[in-house]
Order: sequence, then structure tokens, then C-alpha cells
Amino acid sequence: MVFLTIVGKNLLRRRTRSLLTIAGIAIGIGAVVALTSIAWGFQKSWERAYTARGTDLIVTKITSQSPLPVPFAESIKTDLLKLPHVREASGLLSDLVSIEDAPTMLIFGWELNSFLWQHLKLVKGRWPTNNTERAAVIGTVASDMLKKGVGSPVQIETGELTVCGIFESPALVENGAVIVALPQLQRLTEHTGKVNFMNLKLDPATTDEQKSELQKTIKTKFSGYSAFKSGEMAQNNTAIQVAKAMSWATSVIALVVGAVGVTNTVLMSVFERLHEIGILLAIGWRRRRIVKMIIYESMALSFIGGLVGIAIGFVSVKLMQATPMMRGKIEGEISLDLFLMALLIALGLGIFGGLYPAYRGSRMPPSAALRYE
Amino acid sequence: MQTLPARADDLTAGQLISKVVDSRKTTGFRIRAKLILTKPGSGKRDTRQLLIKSRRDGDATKILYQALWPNEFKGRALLVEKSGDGRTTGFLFEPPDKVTPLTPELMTRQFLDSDLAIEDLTEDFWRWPSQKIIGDETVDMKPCKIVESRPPDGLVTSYSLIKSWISPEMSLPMRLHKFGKDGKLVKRFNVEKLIKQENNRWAPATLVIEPADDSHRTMLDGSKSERDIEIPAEDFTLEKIKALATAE
Repeated sequence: MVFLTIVGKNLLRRRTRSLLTIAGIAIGIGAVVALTSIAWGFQKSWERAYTARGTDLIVTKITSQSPLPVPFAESIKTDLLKLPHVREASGLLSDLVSIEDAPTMLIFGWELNSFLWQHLKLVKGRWPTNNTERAAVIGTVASDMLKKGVGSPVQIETGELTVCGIFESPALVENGAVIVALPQLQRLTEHTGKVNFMNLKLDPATTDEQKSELQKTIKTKFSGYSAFKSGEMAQNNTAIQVAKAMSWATSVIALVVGAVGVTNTVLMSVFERLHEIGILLAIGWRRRRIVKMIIYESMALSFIGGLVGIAIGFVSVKLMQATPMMRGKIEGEISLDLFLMALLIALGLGIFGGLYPAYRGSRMPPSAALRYE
Repeated sequence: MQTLPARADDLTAGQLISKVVDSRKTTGFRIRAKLILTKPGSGKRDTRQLLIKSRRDGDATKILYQALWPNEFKGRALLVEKSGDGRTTGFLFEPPDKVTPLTPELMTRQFLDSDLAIEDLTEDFWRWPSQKIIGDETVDMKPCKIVESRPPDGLVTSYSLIKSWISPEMSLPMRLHKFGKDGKLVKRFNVEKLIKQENNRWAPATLVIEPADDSHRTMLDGSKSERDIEIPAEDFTLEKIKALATAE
């Protein structure tokens, strides 16, 4: 208890410096939390989209360079339906398109009357009625981005379609998208007879082992194709991988800045207390105990900074989600996993930042330290 | 026998330009792009959606620029046909059925009210006989050779000199400066963003065009591109071009 009191008093001795260090760590951890929350939220949103569509397995052709899988012949559906456990198969064509004055958006071509539509809730208007109708339904976020309502014309690639309905989806990515009947998107993107995803619905009694077996069968039987469970599909999504990589790259920079701040503060504190450290060594403190004291100080700063940073990160995500510019476009993931991860990073930062000052402080001979004023 | 690639410093202007031209050779391409017109300080922004298609038949190439949006420009198209011997023909189409062949008078006209003139899209200054490397400069951290191209006597063009900053490593011009007959700078072209294509070649994703007085700027932003594809020959016919203007 006395030992921890010494640690606390050491930190309180230079309150302003300790507070500034805590603020530096908090900003770093806050950035990590906010960016990771958004990247994880993006992945969760895709997972929700795949799950909500009721898809058990997704068959696709993934190439490393393309953000979306390459289109393939939809005729594969007939062969897929012959496989064991496969109850339904529905083709999906998706593309990223620049629509009118809006930023690049996702557009989906879905088979009408397929199970893919079942999770969507129509907010206004109606669904497209047939494959030849030049109509589109748009998500609530897409409706805001495009400034379109029911009945508005919308130019998509070389064709003009009419917005016939506005929908809401449990998945944010779908709320920002445009959906048309599959043949319409095939016509507009000049991919007649092609899809880039085949969604499979399996018999409800299919076990996980049977699903895995089916994945292997598809990979072997159809050269170049892969089958993914919905969670796996989100992890393989190039956009998600890019978002995660960017969030980590930014986080690493923030953490390096935080670590330098902690090292600087603790090192300054050690140099100021060399005389005191000399006395502690002279009265019998072991070097290991000195190391422990300095590391504890560093960890205490990081722990408090981490907690404040986590709060800053979560509040920032909530605020960003609430701003009119970002409303509906990002969805932060606020979870216990993220809280614990951020706290561990903060403590790791404290240990790392305290190592060098601890080494310097503990290696000083007591006679030299006592001479220090 | 395999020959070692020439070092960038050893390349002549002609070899450097051949490298650029060869790297752009393709059976055909389709690019979806946005032309964004802005006036600095005004906050005003106008967008045009564009479809650019190209097809190669032997030594001849056809490039078609079609406006998709907004409606006031929808269907407007510029067809540029370049034969193997360097002749350029084509026409400008304005809905519902106005077809204007490419004439010298048409060349200085702005394309879709942007900072791009028709001649900027038709002129093949890489073929001009006078090409000279005049120095080196780094553009966006990429070492470039500065090449001066001067038009031959008698050629109808608004420009007396075009300076290109070519990256030998990427076989790509990173910057162009076009000078008028009076020797003064008329407009600047700058590559702002590059993308690596599936064939590992670099291509400009965002190109900014600004007049010398900086009074406005046009950004050509390629949202999607496909290369080495075969675009049907019928896409370049007047009937098909007209059909887009009336497409619903």
C-alpha cells in the first residue's frame, strides 16, 4: 500500500505534466477507438447484410485487385441447385457506380421474387414489379445522398430509371445503396447474363460440418469459384480490409506519439528524482523495486489516459454518427471487446513507454544518485 | 535475343514518347468518368457524367466521349477516329440529330462547357515531328523528363508548344503545359491521382485542367475503367450514338 502511495504521490507532484501526458495518451487511444469502431462497424454492417438476406453460402470469384468480385455466368445456378443441401439459389450483380452528382455508390441487381428482398422494409412507394420495368428502389441514406424521392428520375450509367420506392434495411451498407431488378443492372453495366455473387439458401437442417463440406465441393467442382459463409464473406471484402488497414495505420501513428509522450514524461520525472532514487537505493530498495515503481507510474498514466481515451473515442463516434453529413453513412461498433482491446493497448503503451526511464533510473549507482541535486 | 531496357537517362525524346504510346496500346477500353467544373472561391460545382469508349482496328483507333448526365448535356458525343497514318476525323453530335464534322473551326470549342477544348481530346501531339528533352524535374515525388513538342508548320492548332513532364518509370505524363501562339501559357493539365491497373500499368485516375489565369478548374475523375476489352464496332456508329440520347 505504501509502495502504491509513493507511485501516486510521484504522479501528483507534477500535476500539470501528468495531466498533459494523460491528455496525449487519451487522444491517441481515442483515435484508435474511434477508427477501429468505425472499421469494425463497417464489417458488422456487411455481416448483417449477408445474414439478413438469409444467405447460408455465397459463391463468388474473388480476385485480389478488384474491389468487387468479377462477374461470371449466372447459368452456374443450375449446377449449384443440383448440389446436396442447396434449397434455393439467387444471383446478384453488384457494382460501384457514380450516380449523377453523388459520390460513388453501391448498386445491386437482384432477382425479383427471390429471398434476398425479404429483409427489406418498404418505407415509401412500391417494389419493382417486373424485369423489364425501368425502376429502382433506393435506401433511405441513398435517398438523402441523391436527393431523390418516389417518382424521381435517376440516371444510372447509360439508362434513366424511375425511383419507385424507398426502403430501409437492417444493414447500413444497403441503406446507402440502389437496388434494381437483375436484368436491368445487367443491361446498364453491359454484363448480360452475368452475376458476381450467387446466394445459396440451404436446408434448415444442414449442419456446420455439412456446410463446410459443401464449401469444399464447390471449390473443387467449380474451378476459380469459392463459397463463403456470411461472416467469412465480410472478412474477405476488400473494402473492409482496406478500412481496417487504414484504421490500424492511423492508430499506429497515434500510439507512437502517445508512447513518446509517456517516455518523455516518465524520463523527466526520473531525472528530477535521481537524488530521491539514490536515497531509496541507499536505504535498501532493490533495483527491481525501482523499476517496478517507475513502470507502475507509467502504467498509471496510461491506464487513466486509456480510460479517458476510450470515452473520447466512443463519444466521438456517437457525435460523428449524429452529424448531418455523416448520419446514416457510418455505424460505429461499441463493444466490450473494443473496450478491453483499447485498455490493453493503453497498458502496453505504459509498459513500453516506462521501460527506458526505468532502466535509466535503476542503473544509476546510489553514490552518483545521491550527489545529484 | 533479349535486349536490356534502356536507362531513363539514355532515352531520347522519341524513345520516351514511344514508351508512353506503347504502354497505352489496348484493344479497347471503357471508362466511366465525372467532369467536375468548379470556380475557386465561389463554391459552385457542376458535374457531368461521361462514358468514354475506345476500339482499335488494326492501326486505327476510335474514341467516343458521351455525356450521360445532366439531361441538358445527355447524349452529346464526340467521336474521334485516328487512322494509322495520323489523320484525325470524326464528328460532334448534339441531340436530337445535329452532326458537325471535326473542322479546324470546331477545335477550339469547349467540350461540355469545361476547360477541355475539342482539340485537347483530338490532338495527337505525340506524333508531332519536333520533340526534345529539355530537362528533368520531380513531379509528386516521381522523377520526370520534360519534353517539348512543337507542331509542324501548317498544322491547324491553337498551341505553339506543349511541355510534358513524363515519368519514364510509369511511362506516363504527369503534367502538361500548353502554350498559345503568343508563347504564353494557356492551360495546365496535372495528374492528381494514379491507379494501378490489373495489367500492372499506371493510369491517371484524376486529371485536373486549369487555365493559366486559374479562374476556374475542371477535374476529370475516372470512377471506373476497363482495359483490354473489345467494344463492339456498332457502338461507334451514329445510330448507336443517337440511341443513347433518347435512351430511357
